[in-house]
Amino acid sequence: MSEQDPSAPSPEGRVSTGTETLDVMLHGGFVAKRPYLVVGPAGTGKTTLALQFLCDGIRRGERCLIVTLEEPPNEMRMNHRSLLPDLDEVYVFDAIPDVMRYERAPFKDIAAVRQSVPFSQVPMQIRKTPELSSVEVTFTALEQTLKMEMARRNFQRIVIDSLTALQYFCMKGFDETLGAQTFLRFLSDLRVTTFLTVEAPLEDSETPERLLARGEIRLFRWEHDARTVRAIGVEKFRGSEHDARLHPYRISPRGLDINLALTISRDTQELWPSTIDTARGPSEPPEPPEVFATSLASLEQDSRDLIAVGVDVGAIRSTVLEALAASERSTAEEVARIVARARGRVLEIVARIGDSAPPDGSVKESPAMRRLRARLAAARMGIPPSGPPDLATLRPMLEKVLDALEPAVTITHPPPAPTAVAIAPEEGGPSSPPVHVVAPAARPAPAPPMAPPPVAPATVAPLPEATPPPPPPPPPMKPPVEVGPPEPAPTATVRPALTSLKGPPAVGTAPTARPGAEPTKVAPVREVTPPKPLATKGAPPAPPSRSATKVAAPPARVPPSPTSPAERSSPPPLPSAGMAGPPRPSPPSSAAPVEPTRPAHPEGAGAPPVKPGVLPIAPLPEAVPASPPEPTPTAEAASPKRRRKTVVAGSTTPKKRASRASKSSSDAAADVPSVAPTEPAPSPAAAVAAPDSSVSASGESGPTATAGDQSAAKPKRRAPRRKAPPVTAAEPGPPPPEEERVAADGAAPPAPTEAPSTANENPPDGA
Amino acid sequence: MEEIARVSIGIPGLDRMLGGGLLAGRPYLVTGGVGSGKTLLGLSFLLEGLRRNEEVLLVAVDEPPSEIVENVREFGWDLSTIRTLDANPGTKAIRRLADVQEIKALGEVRSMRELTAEARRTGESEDISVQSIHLKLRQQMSGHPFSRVLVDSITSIRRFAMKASPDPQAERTEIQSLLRFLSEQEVTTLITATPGNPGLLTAEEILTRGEILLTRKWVGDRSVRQLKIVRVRGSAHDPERRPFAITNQGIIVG
Repeated sequence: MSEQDPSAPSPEGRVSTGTETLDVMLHGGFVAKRPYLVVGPAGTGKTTLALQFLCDGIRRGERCLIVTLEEPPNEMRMNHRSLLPDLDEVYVFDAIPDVMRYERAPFKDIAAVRQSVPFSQVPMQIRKTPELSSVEVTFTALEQTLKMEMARRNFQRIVIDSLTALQYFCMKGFDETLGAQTFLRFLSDLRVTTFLTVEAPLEDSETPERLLARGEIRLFRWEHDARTVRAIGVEKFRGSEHDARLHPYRISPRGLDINLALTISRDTQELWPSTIDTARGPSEPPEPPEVFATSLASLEQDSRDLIAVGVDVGAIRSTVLEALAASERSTAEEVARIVARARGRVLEIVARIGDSAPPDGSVKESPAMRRLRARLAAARMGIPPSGPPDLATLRPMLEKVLDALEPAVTITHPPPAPTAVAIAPEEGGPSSPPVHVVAPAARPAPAPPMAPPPVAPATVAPLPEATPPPPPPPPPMKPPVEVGPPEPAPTATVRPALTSLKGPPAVGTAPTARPGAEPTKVAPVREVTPPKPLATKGAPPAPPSRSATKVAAPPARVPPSPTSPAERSSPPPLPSAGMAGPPRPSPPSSAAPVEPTRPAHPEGAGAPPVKPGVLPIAPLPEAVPASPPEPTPTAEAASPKRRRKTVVAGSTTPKKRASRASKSSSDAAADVPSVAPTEPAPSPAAAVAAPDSSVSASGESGPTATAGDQSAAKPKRRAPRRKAPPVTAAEPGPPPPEEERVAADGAAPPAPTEAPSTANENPPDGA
Repeated sequence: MEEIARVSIGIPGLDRMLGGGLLAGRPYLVTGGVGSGKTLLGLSFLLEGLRRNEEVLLVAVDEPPSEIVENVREFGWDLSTIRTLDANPGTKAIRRLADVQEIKALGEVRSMRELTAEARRTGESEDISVQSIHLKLRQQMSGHPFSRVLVDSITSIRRFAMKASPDPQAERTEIQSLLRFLSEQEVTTLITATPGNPGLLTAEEILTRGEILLTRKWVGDRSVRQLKIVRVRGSAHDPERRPFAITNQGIIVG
């Protein structure tokens, strides 16, 4: 820091800015005894930053002075009373010109009339212009004053707030540029570390003082994505390395809260994760491609973790969807940019969670949260760049991420879940299954999905086979695909869902052994197939989300479809449901459970019910079995993925849904066939789901539609990849929320039915 | 330290965004394009003062007070008890324009315009200069302890009252002096302004303690009004853009 002896030059000495994070950006702080500028529009915290600088000096036993030309001292003290103990020791010089006298009155020299006083002696009331004379402040007079003040108190830190006001109001007759130049030179000669605030118009402009200062900190304020974004950057810092990137910040009572883990693009105001340690030295903003590669590698994992932690990932999902859309028509760089934004959102969320007190021990302790924290730490430390993105590999990766996010969708429902859950189990367990069934049926003939979930394993196997044959119903199913479960699931809820979805899940609820089971289940579905018709009728099997997919078959029972919605809703409950035991075997698994549950119920509902139940369960189990770790699941994958997909579909945002729904339906149809063979059950489920989604859409609007969209979008991709038409499944997942709601209303059963029917009938509409 | 009193604007949603209202005794800026609702916002601020039995003052520069009264009649607002400083230079100007048109028919437009220009220059130096507004305010304030003042608008003051001072330094100093005067009166002041060149900073932007921005954009054939608190010194506030509507109840921030 600056030495006690102001005359002793110490080029290497650094002066803390009083803001720890800013010191990091400056690699230690200001170089002592030089003038620095903080430039920014009004309201970005320049004065706060300056006062922090002075209060830091007070804490180090230095003498500090602020020359105020804008804000009256009494107001400044009141506005920054959170700095109070230290602030009262800062000297303030009121250099605000008096009210102008139009009549002739003697002008007095400001140096003779005013002098600095500590903030503690500032009166509460604003200073009044004297009756008989007034002070006109000129910058030459101010220079004289500063010299006197320095001689009197030997200040070590001085703030001029603001240089702009000095130029605007105190340079009559002087050239502003020349005046500013002279003044900065004068400050350098004082050999004090000086901090000057400069009001910047919103549009950038080069001004002479900016060229003259030894360093410039720039504060930005933009409106981006309809939100106000603030960023701070070191534009120039002579004689030292520094972090040249922009970082977002918030203004808190403690001062500027700078987030070094994120950077903001100067051009687009998009958030990026910091990939270089700010303390390591000057660095350029990361290239999009590099970020992209590392991003996709971790985004999938992060998505699952976020869901597991119970965070609303809607924004992330929509960003990833945007990236997927861009991958069809844009460049890899563009996609990388969007992915980077998604990464930025993830880190932003993690940083926010980290800031807030740990909600509950469990959350904090959870492996997911630990991984996320590690991710944030890694981002802060710098992530090694990886190779440039390749569009060919990009889409599959993006889809994986989406799969990971699907659960989230389900989760969304969670909020309702509580109620819904209860309901679901009670009512409709059975009914919901039906829904599923329907969907399945519609699709590949897999209708079989109906196969009772309980039976699951065994059944499944058969079903799959069977599935191939049953392709018929698909069309109807498509509509269902829309599934648009509302995104809005509460975080908490989400978690469970996620876990279940992940399948691996240790959490696992329950489940019966889903792993193998799923296939089996599928088989049942086929059997169920008959239900398909029903489904078509009732259609609405929208059912259940993911589990639905697997279970799908069960749903066959159209009637249930109504219920199914309810069940879906219930999914959220799943957690609790976990239990669902028999009918809802699936419930056991937290997320998965839900779906399963539904299926089960459906099954229960009709003769087929049993099968459905089985099926659902089976799927869930698999998921469950899988270790909690999301990643692992892949292998089991097929089932999990499907689920996810389904979920995704559901999850998709409302907006997209509509469009996608239509697409999805088509996709679904396409997918279904192919899928059917492989994984009959899933497809059915998807189909079922679709109905629900459509239903939900009709009922709810946004969410469903979205789901549909997503599903559609995803399905396409997925379909190609995977035979199994997770798509369908996905749809189901989302719907649940709606269903749940319905259930809550009591109307659930009926409504669902209607909805389903509608869905079937109007699949296109939904789309 | 004791908290500063908050002054309600009379628009619940906006008061909430401000964290309870404006800080008493300070000048604030309301910026927005033509028809964005600046004057209405300012009038609700004054009417809220009337409801609380405070002394309020309207400094009307943009529109003649009589027109303002007519414009808010549909809201059922009674402005009759608001003390008004009529600093509107337009009254005469409009008449002159009418004259110009008549004269135009006679083929004497040109000369009349020159005359008009001449007349305005001399007339304005008497009628509206920052100095005259300042002195009138001083007179008004010495007799009445106003607690709320609306200056509508400073853009007009600059345009109509400062033609004689092309020197930007002098202009800024005059504005600074006027705002300083209002600050020293410890009166809560709303000053309306039309946004100018975004690359140019105005004196009032620097000197006011806060700024509320009103915008209006068209979405299809519907106009969407939005309000944003750009900055407020010494008070936490909602920094996001919020929609608002002008209804027959006045301004409603949703």
